[in-house]
Amino acid sequence: MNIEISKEEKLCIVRPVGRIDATTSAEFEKSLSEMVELAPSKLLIDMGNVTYVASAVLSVLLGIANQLRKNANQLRLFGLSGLTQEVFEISGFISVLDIHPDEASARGEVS
Amino acid sequence: MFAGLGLFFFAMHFLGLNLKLLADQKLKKRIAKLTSTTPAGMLVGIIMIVITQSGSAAVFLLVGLVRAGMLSLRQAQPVVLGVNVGAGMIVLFLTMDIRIAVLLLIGISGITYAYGSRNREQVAGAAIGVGLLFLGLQIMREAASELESTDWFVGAVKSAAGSPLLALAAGAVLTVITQSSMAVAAVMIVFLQSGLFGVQEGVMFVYGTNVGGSVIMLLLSAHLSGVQRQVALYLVGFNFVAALFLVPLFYVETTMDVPLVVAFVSQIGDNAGTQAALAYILFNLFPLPLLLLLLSQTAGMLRALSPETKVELNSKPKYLNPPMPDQPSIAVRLVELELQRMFDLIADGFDNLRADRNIKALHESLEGVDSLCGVINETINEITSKLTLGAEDYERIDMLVRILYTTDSMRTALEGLGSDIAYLRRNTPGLTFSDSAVEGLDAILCVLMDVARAQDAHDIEVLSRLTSKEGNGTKAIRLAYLKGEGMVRTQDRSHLLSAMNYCERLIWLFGEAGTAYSNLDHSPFEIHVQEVEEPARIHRAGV
Repeated sequence: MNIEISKEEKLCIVRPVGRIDATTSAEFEKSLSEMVELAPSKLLIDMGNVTYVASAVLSVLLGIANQLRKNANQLRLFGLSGLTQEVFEISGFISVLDIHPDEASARGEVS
Repeated sequence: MFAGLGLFFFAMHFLGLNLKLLADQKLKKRIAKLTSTTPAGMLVGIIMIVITQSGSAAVFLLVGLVRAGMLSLRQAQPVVLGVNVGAGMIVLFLTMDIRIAVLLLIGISGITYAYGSRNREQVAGAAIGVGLLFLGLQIMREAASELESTDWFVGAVKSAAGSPLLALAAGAVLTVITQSSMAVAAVMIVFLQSGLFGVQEGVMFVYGTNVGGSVIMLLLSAHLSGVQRQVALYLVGFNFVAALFLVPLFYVETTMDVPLVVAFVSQIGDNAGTQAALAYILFNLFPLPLLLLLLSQTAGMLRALSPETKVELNSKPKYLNPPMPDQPSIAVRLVELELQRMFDLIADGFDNLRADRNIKALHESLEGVDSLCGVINETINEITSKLTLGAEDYERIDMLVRILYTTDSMRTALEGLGSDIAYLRRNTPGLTFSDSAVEGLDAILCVLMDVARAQDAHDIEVLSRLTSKEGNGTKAIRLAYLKGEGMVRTQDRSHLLSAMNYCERLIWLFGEAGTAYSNLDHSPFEIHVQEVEEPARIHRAGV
């Protein structure tokens, strides 16, 4: 798994590429935690190039969303497809996380 | 020989299964009492070897008891020592044929199993397991005993004549082939009586049979892990320790003319056969004082060599160790904490459903769930029958029983899902349903585990959404089913449908458990356990 990170004013975008499984989820969590410390108003995760997502990752995302929520910040995901989307749907996480079809939609009100 | 080996492994599994069903707390306590002291444990070992007439059968019987959670390593150690002492004592009676007794045992227990009352079914099942175990060994032994009349076997024995080291090797190799050190020792006695071997080769030959016994144990225990392997390795170690001292002593005696073992057995035994039998007994008594002194140290070494498996650790009660607290609220809180640990085992089960895992590991996790579930169930019975509970405690324990039964249902659904997923992965490798279902359900389970630990309102709300219609999990499962349906052969669709049903059931059960936790008020007690062996420290929250 590779992670590409870009920072804009009040916004961070994390773009993981490849499989995020039990062995790489810790690295993914570390990257997200570093972004949370920057206190962006929106943390965007591009899931478009993620080929596999383990259950542990969903727990990480839920935790990150909770941390951001405490400071009235948001976690947004976009680009879900294939197996990744299926995992989010079956787990029901699609209903508890803020998920958007594409990057433009996820950026939304960002000025 | 091959049929005997197959029967042996089947019998091991069947015996373990039935002992597990039998292993309620009362029986565990009875066995614990029976093996509570070192001499009592050794006596149990001697009785076991007298009944089984085979060191490997006795030790694997012991492994079955350990696997069923009836014995710990510390309790099993003196039993292994007793098995070896007993083996030495009965070597002279080896020529007895136990086949008739074994067939009688299988016959009686088979009839009881089929037509007896329900409560005798497990006892009969365990008895059939024991019978089949011996029959398997007997078949292997008989197949091997035919070698006695073959030219190459006699040739191998003859070639060792005049060379003690070759006799040692021949004893070990022939034991590995025949699967019984005692049987080979008995054959050896015949050879000795016919004057084929001298006493020196005879002594080394019986040493070799014991070394061979260890090699068999190593081979048969290769598929074991954790505490079961520790028990098997203890027997291996016993024989190697004996060989490590006695073989050099033999050469000291024969080259430096110091009267030791050979001199001792020659003086006591009036014929070569008795002398070999005495050497066999000596071999099995020699390491005893040392190993009795080092019980704790050797236990530590065995733990390092074969650490307890994750499932073994998780299935051991952490909070519900006797004695039960007198205060009902504390006892109920301990049940609650132990119940949380059941989810760790369910999570292990999900982990074992992943593509790169072995379905056998799933069954081990499920065995762990059964074991812990049994402990919790019996503790709840004990609490409700022995302690005077207030209304609040009754309400709390009622909710915990509900969660326990829900978790037990999760275990059943997980087992069914595991079997269907294993089938689908074998027959439809391209199907993504299995992977997405496992990851998706495991993600919900992670939230449930958080709810069980902290009963945080936000987590409860999230879990409720994930498992309700709003979460759409059931709908998504059905969509995933429809997507995969076209990829699956018509005759395999029932497995996909069945897997889908198990997934739906698991989502519903996760929701039910979450609802039960939401009705459970925070306990006023915080309990900290620093180490498993240490008793739990109990504090009132906020104090």
